[in-house]
Amino acid sequence: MKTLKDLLLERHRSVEPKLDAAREELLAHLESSRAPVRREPSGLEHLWLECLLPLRWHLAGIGAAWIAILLLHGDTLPDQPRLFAQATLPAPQQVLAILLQHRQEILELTQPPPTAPASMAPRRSDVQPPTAIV
Amino acid sequence: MLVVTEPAQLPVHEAKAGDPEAWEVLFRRYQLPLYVYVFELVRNEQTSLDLVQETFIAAARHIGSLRDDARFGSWLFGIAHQKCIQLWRANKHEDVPLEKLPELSHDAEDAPDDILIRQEAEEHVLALLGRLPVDQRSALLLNCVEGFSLQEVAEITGVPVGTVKSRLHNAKRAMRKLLERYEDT
Repeated sequence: MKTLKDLLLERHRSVEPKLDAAREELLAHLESSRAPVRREPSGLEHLWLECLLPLRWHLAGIGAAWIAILLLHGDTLPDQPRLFAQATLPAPQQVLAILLQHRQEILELTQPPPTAPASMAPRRSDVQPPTAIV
Repeated sequence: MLVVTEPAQLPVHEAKAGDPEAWEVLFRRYQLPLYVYVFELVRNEQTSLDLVQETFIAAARHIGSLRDDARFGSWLFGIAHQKCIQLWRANKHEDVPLEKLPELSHDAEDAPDDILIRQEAEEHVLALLGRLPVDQRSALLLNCVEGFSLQEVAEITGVPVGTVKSRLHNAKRAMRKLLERYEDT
């Protein structure tokens, strides 16, 4: 007399070599996938690995192109900021002159004109006759 | 004879750490019972071998999700059961074990190995097993071959315990009937 378990296990025992082979294959796969233990990359590492690293040759090419442009236009580039400044801003002397002119105009408009000229001759009453010294 | 290691002795914790030797022990322990279970459901040797291998691959991949190491066996059979259902669905089998059975009131669990088979009746028993509805066959196999409790069978198959009781009871009753009929003749 057998149990159902004994009967079934006995019936399928012939397949064990195939199961063993499958097991060995699986274990070899597990072993190989276990060897390089990888940790999860951090945010910056992830950015580097996922975004920048695949584009490294493109970025290098763009960088090289910019360097070539800078070298070819090396003579004109340093003057450009000055030219720009000249074109947009007046010179300090001009600014100063304009400011002085404005100040003069404001003074003329706000101060009343002088009633008597400072260079007038003194009145006769103010002038004392010369006294004789005895 | 199959060397059955008790669940408590199985190196599940070591397997979780990725120890290949632990996986070897686990695979060796479960490969034949798992194959028997899958074969008796799908009835094709190569498909069963593939499903067993897929089950082990899935187990190795998702072992981290197993909370209780002592439940490794039922967890593994649960994966295999799901693989069988996926196969049925992929093959558009309409007879997926979903039949509703009346819940029985008997409380005592049937002992897993209480069906004793005479040598001359072996072929008839195996033939009957193949004719049982898949849900009954599944419950009977899990209970008899691997000795899972009703609760474990319910977890593996994803149905309530009462449904498992009904299925198991009906399967065993059908098996006994056949054996009695065979003995009478």
